[in-house]
Amino acid sequence: MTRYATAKGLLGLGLAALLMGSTAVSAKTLVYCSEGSPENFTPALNTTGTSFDAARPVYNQLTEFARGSTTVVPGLAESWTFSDDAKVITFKLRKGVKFHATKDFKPSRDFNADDVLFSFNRQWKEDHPFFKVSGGKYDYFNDMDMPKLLKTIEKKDDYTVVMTLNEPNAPILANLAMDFASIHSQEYADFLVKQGKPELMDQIPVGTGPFSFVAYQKDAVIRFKANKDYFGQEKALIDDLVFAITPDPTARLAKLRKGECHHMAYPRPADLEEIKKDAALQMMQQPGLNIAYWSFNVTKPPFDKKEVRQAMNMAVDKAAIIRDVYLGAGAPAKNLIPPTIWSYNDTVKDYPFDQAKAKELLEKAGVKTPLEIDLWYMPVQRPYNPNGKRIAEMMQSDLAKLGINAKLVTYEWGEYRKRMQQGEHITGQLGWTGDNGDPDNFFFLRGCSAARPGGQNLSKWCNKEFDDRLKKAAAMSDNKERAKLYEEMQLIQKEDAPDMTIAHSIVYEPMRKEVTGYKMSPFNRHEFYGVDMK
Amino acid sequence: MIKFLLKRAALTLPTFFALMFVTFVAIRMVPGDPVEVRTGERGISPERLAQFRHELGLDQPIWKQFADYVWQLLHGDFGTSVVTNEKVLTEFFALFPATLELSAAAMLFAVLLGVPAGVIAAVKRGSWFDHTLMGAAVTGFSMPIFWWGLLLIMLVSERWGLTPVSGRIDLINYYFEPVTGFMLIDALKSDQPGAFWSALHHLILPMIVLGTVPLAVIARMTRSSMLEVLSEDYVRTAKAKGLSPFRVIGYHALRNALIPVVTIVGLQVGTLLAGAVLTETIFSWPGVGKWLIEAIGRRDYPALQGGILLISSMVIVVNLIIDVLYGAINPRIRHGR
Amino acid sequence: MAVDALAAQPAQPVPPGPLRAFWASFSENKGAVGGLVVLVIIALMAIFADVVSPYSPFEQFRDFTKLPPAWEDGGNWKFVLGTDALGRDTLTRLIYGARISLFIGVAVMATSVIVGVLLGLAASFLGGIVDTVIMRVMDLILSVPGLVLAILVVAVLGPSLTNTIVAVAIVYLPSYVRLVRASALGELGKDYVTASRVAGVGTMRLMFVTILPNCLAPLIVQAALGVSNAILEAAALGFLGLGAQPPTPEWGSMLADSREFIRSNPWIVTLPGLAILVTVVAINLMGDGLRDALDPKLKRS
Repeated sequence: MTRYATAKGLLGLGLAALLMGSTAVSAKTLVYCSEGSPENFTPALNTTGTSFDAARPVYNQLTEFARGSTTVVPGLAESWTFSDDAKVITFKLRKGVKFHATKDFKPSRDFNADDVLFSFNRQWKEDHPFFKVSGGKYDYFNDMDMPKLLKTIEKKDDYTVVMTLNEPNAPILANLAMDFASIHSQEYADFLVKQGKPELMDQIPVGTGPFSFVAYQKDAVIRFKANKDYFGQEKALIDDLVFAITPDPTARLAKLRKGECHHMAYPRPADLEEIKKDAALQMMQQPGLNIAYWSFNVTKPPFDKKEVRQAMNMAVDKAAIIRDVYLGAGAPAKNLIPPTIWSYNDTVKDYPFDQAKAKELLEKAGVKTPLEIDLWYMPVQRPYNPNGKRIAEMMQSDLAKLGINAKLVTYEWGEYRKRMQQGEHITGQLGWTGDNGDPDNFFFLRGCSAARPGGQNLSKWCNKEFDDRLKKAAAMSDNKERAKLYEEMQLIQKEDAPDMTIAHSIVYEPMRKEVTGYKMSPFNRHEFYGVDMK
Repeated sequence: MIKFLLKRAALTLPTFFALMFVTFVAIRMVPGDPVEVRTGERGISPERLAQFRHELGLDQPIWKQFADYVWQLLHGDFGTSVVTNEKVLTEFFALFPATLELSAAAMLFAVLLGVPAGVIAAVKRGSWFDHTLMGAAVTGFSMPIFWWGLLLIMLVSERWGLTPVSGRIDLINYYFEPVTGFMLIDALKSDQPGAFWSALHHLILPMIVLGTVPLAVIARMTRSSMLEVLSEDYVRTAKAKGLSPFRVIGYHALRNALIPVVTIVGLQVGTLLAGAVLTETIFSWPGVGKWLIEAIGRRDYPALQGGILLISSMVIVVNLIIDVLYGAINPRIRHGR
Repeated sequence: MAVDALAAQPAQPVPPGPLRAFWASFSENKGAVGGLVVLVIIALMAIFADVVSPYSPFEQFRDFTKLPPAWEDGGNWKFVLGTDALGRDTLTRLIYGARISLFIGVAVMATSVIVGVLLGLAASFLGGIVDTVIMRVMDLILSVPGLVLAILVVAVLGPSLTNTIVAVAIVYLPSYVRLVRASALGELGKDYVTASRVAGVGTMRLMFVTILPNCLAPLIVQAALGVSNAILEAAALGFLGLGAQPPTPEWGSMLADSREFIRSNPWIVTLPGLAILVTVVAINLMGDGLRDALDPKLKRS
């Protein structure tokens, strides 16, 4: 056996050398070093970017975000019209769109209205035959309030779908471009039911997208190949797309540098310098749609006093945190929203790092030192916060100089968030990543309704001036008027200091020089159609 | 013999049941739950949370959950992963070959290198080779392998470019469907030229990292047991009879010296699996060790429970086999009990 | 003849006391002595960390982050072994880390030896159902791979220094129980035990005063190795983020914390690992010497 193996291997080595040239020309393979395994391949079931990235090459939605932007463009729906009361939307579907074939399944018809109905009803109607398949947790469908929003979805003819809403909702078109609204094949579903394996729906994906699914080996690799029949303007320019699942960022970078992959997800901030120096690599960057903050629980003394909260803002050296923890992959935040979102108020002045002034404020508030507080830090890395623990250690050290002993506390991630929402902490870190670029998507985090126990307002801060404006702005349609209110709210928030806004991250994507045409997505998607290799 | 075997096997049954119960209870004592963990910053409404907990049976009293679990197990069902909705058994056996391949390679590496090195050290006792080897063995034995792995990747893969950084095969040039899950075998079967070498090339570094501790243990063990045997009367007699030293060492001495070594190899199985957790984490090796750690992080109760149960059963079975083998080699033990 | 031999005896040197004999045989092994010396140095540094180390382990020199050791380019002799990502002095943290790691090692060893001796003696003396239950539980612990078990225990109890010690102690408990039980069973059959029994010595006294001392030699050897294993296991837990919590300077978590700098600043990662390795090697060398000195059968071979 061994001898056989060796002989064959040696022979193979020679052959490989011979064949190397020809394979390189005939097939373009792009390897993307991804950060983890998807939970499955049905986006509606999932919540993580990792899972969405893995399913995205296969699917389309009715509407879509143009590659590399937040602009909504036609997808599987060619066009749409709103009724006068804006409650009824009529979608005209694209004709001649082919679903992918798998080893067993060969589609007999083109995409039509049945597929649209299937995709939404599966998430919506509890009596739908696929509702319970694969656990049936449709988090995004529910998070986006779709069950409340939707009244009916009807098929008018094979290429016309009518969606009726309970109330007008302008962002609906953007919502339909999100991953959870991906369109699946009704025919494939029927086929699987006949085979008695409905769960394969979520494991062997069939869609209309620029790539078709080939194979998946858990924790190792996902393979796609270009869909030659793709309807879109921007097609797959490479032949094979491979996700090499590599959870360790150091290993991802090493693979990228050695040419074992061409593009990598989420580099470590510590490695950015090295990447910039490598002549074989290029790197793109853009500000992230997020915020990391440090909340003060205003229901717990002495943080009920404004002076104390302001003192905290002055006591911590934010610049040092940006320098030593974000290592250049972050910008100091003075507002809750990042500067790329409209209504950002640049006239807001951040608190300076001034420990003497902080001490004065504490004395004024009658705080006696040593003061014992707790400081909760996140047990996990998040897009907005590369290392909660290190930030906490720096804060602890800064606070110690004022005679404040901060005890570092953390819990398992789900537990952590739940306890903080209940208001068990005195001070603690968290953050937020935006979904749709609307300011309300951030400011609700400091609204009164979110300040209830269990709500997302971790400062439990309910300021009437702030909250009135928040409610008013949400009901208005004129973005200019809304912007004015949001700008005022940013001033109120900074003055009353329910939190310390730490940073907005900067997202980097390194790739090899031979990769061309890649566009960074503001939603942090990793998309490879329209991408070529030199 | 069969009676002995049955008796030993019967003894492991209560262990197995206790294991099932203890892990079941322990896992449910871990703070956090699988539904909460996956929701992130966004959270989940209490109604939906309650609904999912109900569907997963998490709202039942724990004894009821346990009874259901045992009932399932008796039907050969290890449950379904909360995260991926795949059968735990399917997931486990999709990943297990990778762990087995790595562990077997590491063990082979340790034995093939450790036994000859130990023999030479014993024969040339006190020589520089002996001293160097024993020094190296203590170091290997003391190695924090997570650090060793990082160090080797940094030097061997990155600085010197000798081995790939991680993964099991070159993904750009080779592709074939997994048949056995053992990359080396699949690569051979695939008829893709060079695939086998690529797979082997990817295996080298993780194999060395995982094999370091067993290698040190085996080398030390072989040396000391060889020394003991060499001083026995029958070896001296053989020498005195004028048999060639090669024959004395290779045939008479080694055969007897290997008995304790075989036991040690068996005992290292548990160590190997524990080491695999770290090695797989460092090398992004798609095996069950890494999978278990991730299951803890995601509070994937069924996966965690099933994984621990399956791995421990294997350890129990391997120990049983060793007991039996040992009894076969050394009849005194069998009759002594 | 016999008389002659007896008469000649006074001329021979007095046989050395047991301690002296032990030391004589221990010091024959150069590796063991070397290990002992290194270990004593590390232990002294750990005990007098407050005096020996240049700074506080928590003091952050924000203007001097991620310095390499002084002899490297860009090093600074103020920070001999460099600084970590937050500008804390690496040498200082390593010295304090020795305190933590040795403490973990000794605490784990002490816990598992004490519990192990009690359970082992109970199993061997009481026999029957007690014996069966104890040994089955030990089998149970042994059947779960050590690190996985430790991780599970820490996950249940929550990560902290104390829980690390508990988790690792549980993992190593079975080896002590088995060892004590086996050697106690071996001793129980011997004449002197029967003699003591006949003389009416109580069970407790028999267990702890008569038999235990005779099982000590293998126990001491095992305990020495147990310290080094515990340090390794605790470091592995720290590496997986489940060990001592920040800002405690534990070696494993120092390594895990700075893992991201393995490419840009390899020193920060290399040094804690090296500290673990050196300490564990020293303990193991010493343990080998102990074994050779305490186990005459091996010594002569």
